[in-house]
Amino acid sequence: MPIPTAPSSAMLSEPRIRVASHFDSAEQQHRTVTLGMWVFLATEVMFFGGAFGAYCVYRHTQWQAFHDASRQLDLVAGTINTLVLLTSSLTMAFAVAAGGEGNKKRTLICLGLTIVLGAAFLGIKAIEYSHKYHAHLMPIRGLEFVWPDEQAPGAQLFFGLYFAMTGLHAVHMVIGLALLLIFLVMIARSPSTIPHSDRLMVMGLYWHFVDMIWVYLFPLLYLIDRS
Amino acid sequence: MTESHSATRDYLRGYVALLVLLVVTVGVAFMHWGPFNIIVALTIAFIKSAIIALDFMHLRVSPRLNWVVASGAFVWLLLLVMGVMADYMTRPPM
Repeated sequence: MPIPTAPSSAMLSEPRIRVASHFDSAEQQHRTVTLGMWVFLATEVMFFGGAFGAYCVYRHTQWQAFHDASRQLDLVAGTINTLVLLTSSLTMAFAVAAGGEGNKKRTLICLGLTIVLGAAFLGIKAIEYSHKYHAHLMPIRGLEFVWPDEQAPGAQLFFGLYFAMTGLHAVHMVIGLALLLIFLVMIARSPSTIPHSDRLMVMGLYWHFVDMIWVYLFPLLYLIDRS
Repeated sequence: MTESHSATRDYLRGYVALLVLLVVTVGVAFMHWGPFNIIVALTIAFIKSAIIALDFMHLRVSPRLNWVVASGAFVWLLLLVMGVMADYMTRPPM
């Protein structure tokens, strides 16, 4: 079973992954860091799971308000952002693959593209947030929440969940972007990508996971009912 | 080389599938199917996340132990939602 990110059977002259003292081989280390990252991502599912659970309860009890409030979200911005994030996952996958092959130039280009796309996602999100602020749809203490009918409490819950869930997701994006920038500098200053390839693969897992969360947030928040 | 080429092809194939599913899920939201809308939307989201996990996150070629952790996380989420909803959906309306 070929693992695309695994370092190729490196010749002795090539730079290699440093094997930490508590591992027997680079292969064992590779398997361990991968498994460790998956365990971390499982805890992230639990972390987001609470918000998804709350969402399910309120969508059930306040379904009319959720249908109405969901239509207030900008479908075009949400769709473009989904496209941007899916594309950033593709460039991230290419960066990891190039890093595993030792292709430094391609790794840096793909990392750069991923950073640009991630920043574009956050930029579009910021524009959406600002529109919601100006439309008085931000249920934050001290701000006025304006809703035309008696569904106001439910709509408030919807927008509370919208900001909590997309906000939590955006925090993950910011952390991801910061890590990507560190990788960009680290790899640019290093003679080879090979010693960084395991770390880069773990970075990729994180980035794809954040993409995956958005894959669920998008239909649950933006697409409740557009008919 | 052939190995990396097939990986690139896998990524592109996954990406195209994700884009198609994005168009489908947006289109379906405009249909008036009542409670089936959420079922279809979540099914599409699940397929999309499976493509991301299998292709981009290499779960397809990962050791079985990683599969156990990944599916365990998903099953945990299902238990949470099913447990909570089993309560709320069987209560008289508030």
